Amino acid sequence: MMGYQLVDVYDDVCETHVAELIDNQIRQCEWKFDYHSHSGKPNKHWHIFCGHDEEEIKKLGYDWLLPIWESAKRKFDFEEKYKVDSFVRLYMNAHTHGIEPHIHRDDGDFTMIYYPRLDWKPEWNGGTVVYDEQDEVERHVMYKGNRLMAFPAHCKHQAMPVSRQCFQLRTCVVFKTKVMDANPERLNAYK
Amino acid sequence: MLTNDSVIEVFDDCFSVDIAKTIERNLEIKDHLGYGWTYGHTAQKDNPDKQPFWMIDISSNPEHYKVFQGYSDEIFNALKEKLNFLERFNVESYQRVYMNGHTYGQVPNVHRDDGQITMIYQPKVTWKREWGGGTSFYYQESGEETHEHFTPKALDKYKTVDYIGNRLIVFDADILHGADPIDRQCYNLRTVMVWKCFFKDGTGRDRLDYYAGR
Repeated sequence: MMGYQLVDVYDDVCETHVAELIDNQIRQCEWKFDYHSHSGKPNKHWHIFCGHDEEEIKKLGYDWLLPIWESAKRKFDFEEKYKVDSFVRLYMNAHTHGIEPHIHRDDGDFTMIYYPRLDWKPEWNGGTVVYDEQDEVERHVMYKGNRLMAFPAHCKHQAMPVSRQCFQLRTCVVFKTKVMDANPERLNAYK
Repeated sequence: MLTNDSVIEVFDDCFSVDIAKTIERNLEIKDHLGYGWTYGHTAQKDNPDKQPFWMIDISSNPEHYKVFQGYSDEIFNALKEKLNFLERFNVESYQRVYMNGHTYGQVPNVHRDDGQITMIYQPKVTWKREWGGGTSFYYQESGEETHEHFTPKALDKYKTVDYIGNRLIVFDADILHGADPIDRQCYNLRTVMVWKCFFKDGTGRDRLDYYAGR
């Protein structure tokens, strides 16, 4: 029996001062508007590729993101729970009001999304919805700073639009992971 | 402010089609450049309803300067020579250059610029006119104001210059202006390159013979 729900949500992932540092760093980042959440569909969103592993991440100057992973993995026992001990790709996505990412599935085994903005208001929306295979909402995870959500990468999901009252950039940090034993049957039960 | 002597000039087909396409391509921010757009810049510092937009501050950021200086100088110098900036506008060089960008859903606030002459080059030759994103100019609003503390309210629009790729707009920096919204059919980033300029002789354009007869 697996130890995780289809969608797991973890709050207070990093210590407050670390979360603040990450939040501040992301506000200084330089973004590219060249990424499609779903190939063949029109919406693009802002994107930063941060690296495939620790070495590349440090080389590209995003080592300040690593505490998210280290903290979450240790605190929430990712190795035991997901059979995941590292990630295979790290990147950031962002969008403003008016940009609406499409429903899509990810590559990898588990997708883990961290919300960095500590000042985000619930009424600004911008959470993430995970859908079941009948396109019903499986779970709507609200955007809350220092929160991480994890779900099987094959699940359909979508970053939600940002309210017109919000002038801010909705940012998130995404860890793409693969299970250690690379046994796809572990995930089949959730398809 | 907008007066009978104000300058708002529009120059089309600034470069040949091939060169214009190359400029558009060069200014696209791709991963290999390693640099990109930062968010949160505003046209009105003290407006609580301010709308942030995207920016690449070429002059102030040494890393950006290394990447973009060649492009921006090349474009500016070619335009300066072709359009005779010195004779027309009493402008020989620029003081600051940056790029602005916004997407659908963002409506940059109306504002005045610093400097004396602003030049805006619209690089996207693939831009469709129906996507909007032009630049609008407004009449002066009555009332007390300073450059730093001005929140426009009911402004009459004087004119709109549509976003057409390979077009340059030159205007007096103190004219109220703002980028227009983008149509919902547009999924692209509206970009412009902006040069902030001062008159060469440190005084004004009205001393020039070019404007003597106007």
